[in-house]
Amino acid sequence: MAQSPKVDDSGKRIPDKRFEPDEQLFRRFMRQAMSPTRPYIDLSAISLPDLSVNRSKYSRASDVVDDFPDFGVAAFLVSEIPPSQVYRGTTQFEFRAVHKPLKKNYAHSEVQCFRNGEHFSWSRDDIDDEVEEMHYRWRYRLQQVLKVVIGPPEPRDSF
Amino acid sequence: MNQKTNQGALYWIPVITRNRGDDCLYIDELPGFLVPFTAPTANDELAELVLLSDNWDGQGAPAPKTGSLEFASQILKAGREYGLQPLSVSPSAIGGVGITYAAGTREVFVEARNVGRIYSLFSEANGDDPEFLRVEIGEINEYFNRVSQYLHADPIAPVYDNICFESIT
Repeated sequence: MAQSPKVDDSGKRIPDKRFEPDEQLFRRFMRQAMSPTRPYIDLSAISLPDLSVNRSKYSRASDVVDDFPDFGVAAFLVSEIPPSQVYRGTTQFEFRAVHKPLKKNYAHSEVQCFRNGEHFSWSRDDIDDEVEEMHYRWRYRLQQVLKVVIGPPEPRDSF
Repeated sequence: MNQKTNQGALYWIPVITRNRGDDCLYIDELPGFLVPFTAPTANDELAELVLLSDNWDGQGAPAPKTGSLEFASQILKAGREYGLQPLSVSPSAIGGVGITYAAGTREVFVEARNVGRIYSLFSEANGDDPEFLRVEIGEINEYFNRVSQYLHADPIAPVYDNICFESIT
């Protein structure tokens, strides 16, 4: 069951930095990202840098699709986040969940990438093949542990 | 009216959904809330993706741009020429279009990105590291030769040395 937001002495909401290994992280995905013939979702639903998710400590899976009727929800455990990705034996990228509450979504969190201990981000418009290789390999590893917890609705006739 | 005149099906779409960057239709003459729109590709799989706006996932995902839709269309067309039907075609959360082909335990994911690049991942359900490569649209036939060989290659037969097959009578 989702808990109430963590607050400081003045009652102001503050991030809860602690993630338990068995806490679930919810990610919504569009209907097209799932084929009826296989139980997992496409790589295209997973994005870096800073993968947006909701943490189960403060939300339910269904909260993620409240305003997104064409979407389903996939989940993974904090302990299932691929913790690191080595690129050609040299540069190591690390990944971990970070609580990033939003005004209307306290449960919002991100799986962030770190290099040499620093938050590592990159522009989606100025890409580098080496970073992309790391990116695709990590997305693939996460795809392998994602479980669909709310299936997307059947397609509707659009026109 | 400037009209896109490719060979797609004719759709009626709300004007409001077309108001985004370089993918917008230029409506000079037609009044009202609906305009005829010829999808920029002949691929039904892409028709819904054309309608997406930025932040379609509520998490900041960019809508597929014209360039990535055109690359995706060429990929789908080339795949069909090799007898390959996509398992899924979906908008990419990082901007672009993702296409998955599968056969048996093997999958090929190819993503036409908004930045004008195409990346692909060849994977097998045995847990091995997938193969990553960048694809040039000018070499799409060579790419699909490889995809086709990969997906149609006989997988290594699993060895079930702990199973004894007996006839059931």
